[in-house]
Amino acid sequence: MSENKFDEQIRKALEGYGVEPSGDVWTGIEASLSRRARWRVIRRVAGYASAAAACLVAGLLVFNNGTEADVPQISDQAVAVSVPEDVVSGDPVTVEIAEPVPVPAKQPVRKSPKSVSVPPIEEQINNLADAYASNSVPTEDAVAVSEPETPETSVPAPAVKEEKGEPVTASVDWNAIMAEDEENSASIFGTPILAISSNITSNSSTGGFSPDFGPGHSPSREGSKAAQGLPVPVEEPYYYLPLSLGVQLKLPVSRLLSFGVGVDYSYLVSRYASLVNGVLYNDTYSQLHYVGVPVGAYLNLLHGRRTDAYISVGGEVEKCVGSRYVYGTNVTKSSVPGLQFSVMAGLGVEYWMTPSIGCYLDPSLVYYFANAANPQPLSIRTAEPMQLRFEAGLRFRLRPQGHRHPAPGRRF
Amino acid sequence: MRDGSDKFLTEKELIEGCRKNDARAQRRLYELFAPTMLAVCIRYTGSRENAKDVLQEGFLTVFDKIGTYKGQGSFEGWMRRVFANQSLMYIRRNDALKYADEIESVPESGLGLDSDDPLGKLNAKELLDLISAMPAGFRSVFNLYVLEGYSHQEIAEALGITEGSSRSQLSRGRVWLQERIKKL
Repeated sequence: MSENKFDEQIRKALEGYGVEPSGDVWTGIEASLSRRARWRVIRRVAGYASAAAACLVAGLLVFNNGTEADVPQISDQAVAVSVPEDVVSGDPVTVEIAEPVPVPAKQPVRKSPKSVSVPPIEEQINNLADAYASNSVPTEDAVAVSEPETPETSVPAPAVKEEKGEPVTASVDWNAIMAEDEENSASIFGTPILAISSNITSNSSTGGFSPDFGPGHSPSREGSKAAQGLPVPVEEPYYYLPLSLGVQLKLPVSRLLSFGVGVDYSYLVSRYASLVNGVLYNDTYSQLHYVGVPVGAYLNLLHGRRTDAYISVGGEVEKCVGSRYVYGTNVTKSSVPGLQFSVMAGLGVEYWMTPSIGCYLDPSLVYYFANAANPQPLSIRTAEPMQLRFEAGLRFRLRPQGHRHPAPGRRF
Repeated sequence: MRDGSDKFLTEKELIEGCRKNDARAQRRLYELFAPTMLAVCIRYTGSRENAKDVLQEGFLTVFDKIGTYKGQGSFEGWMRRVFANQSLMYIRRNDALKYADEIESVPESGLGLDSDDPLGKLNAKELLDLISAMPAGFRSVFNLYVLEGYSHQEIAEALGITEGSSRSQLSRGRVWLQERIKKL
């Protein structure tokens, strides 16, 4: 018998032959699979947590250079502003303080690459008091009229440094951080993507405390706020880290191009000293709630197995759905007409941890347009229209890439 | 063992389910291929007990690496290669590939089997028992060449031996097996 024939007979004899394994084999396999599944979950959770922590830390390190400790601290004590009934616009108005307001021994000056000159704080108060007096004249009972012999003082403005009679120079660090939601898009052809995003927006450190409070906040606007009994800022605001959440659906139209649309919510908070009906409140909190609809186009630059890079451009229209001012024990709400428009452009990168779950990082430049017809409330957006935004989030492919319905085939 | 709910899964659906770590698909795949793959493992390892360990490790490897199967060639063939490799790893781990003495003791050419030899009368189980009883070196080369279709070059690379050694062991392995068959 030839070797080939012998081999062929051996193959034929063993073809299709099987030995039924004992039940403990599968039990062992099942136990190992269960252990592996637990590890997969642990690794996945650890991966998400690490990515989220890295994004958060990076965002805070990049944008939050200052701390609240740098913000001027002044007394919580309310100060009565004396406004004579016969006051003439432009005349100096004195402010009397029932009890001395402690002024910090060392007035903190926040670091900033750029300083902006602003008028003396007294002048601002005077102007605002004028506006207030022209609309609502307080009664004699409510107003403590200043006497010549009464030592005059000005409202302390710790953040303002005054030297040798020169105009007060406020060295301001616009380190306030704000957030808003907008979703950028990946360019995964043929796979709709749902994204959950959050972002941190930094000012670009190009601005400072501006007398007109930025676009949409002309003195007349603040004067009208005074007439409405709303807090009128009298110092540079401190902008808190905002909260922002959003979802967006991204629809790829080709391998290179995707379009996205979504909805997001932004919560902006700022704090400043303000005047309300002639009373100075040192800690006034402005809380703004915006809901917006972002739209965007995304051009894919690189498409790897797990990593993508893209250019994003888009815009957003937002509506302030709630405006709330908290000063002392008072809370005042107001409606805000008009819309906030913005445009953005940026670069993004995303990493798919699994075929259906990924995280992304989208730094971009955003410009917020002033609404001349309906000025928006004071926020970092109105103070500095051009901002660098640092957005991060998770993306979910609604249908995992490469998934196809199985074609009819052999059945077991 | 089978709940019947998944008996109509196609091979593609089964593979896709295993890729997604679907427990039912994994169980179904095991049920379908475990007997065949256990026979493969027995042929290589020489014992049922050892083969069970290899079978378990092999299926875990299959579930782990099933994403690398691109649909080219038969899936069963791909699985056999996985289990053959797993068996060879087991043999190497246990230092079983020592066959210098075995080569010395077995001639490269034997008498061969006559046309009316008893090979055709052997059933699969008896033949599997004979192959399992072969010395590890012979057994490995014989399995890889005769039953898996590897070339001597591939076997040499897989086992870390020369091609000449692979040929020699195959010939001696055939003689060893033919002699055992004749004695039955």
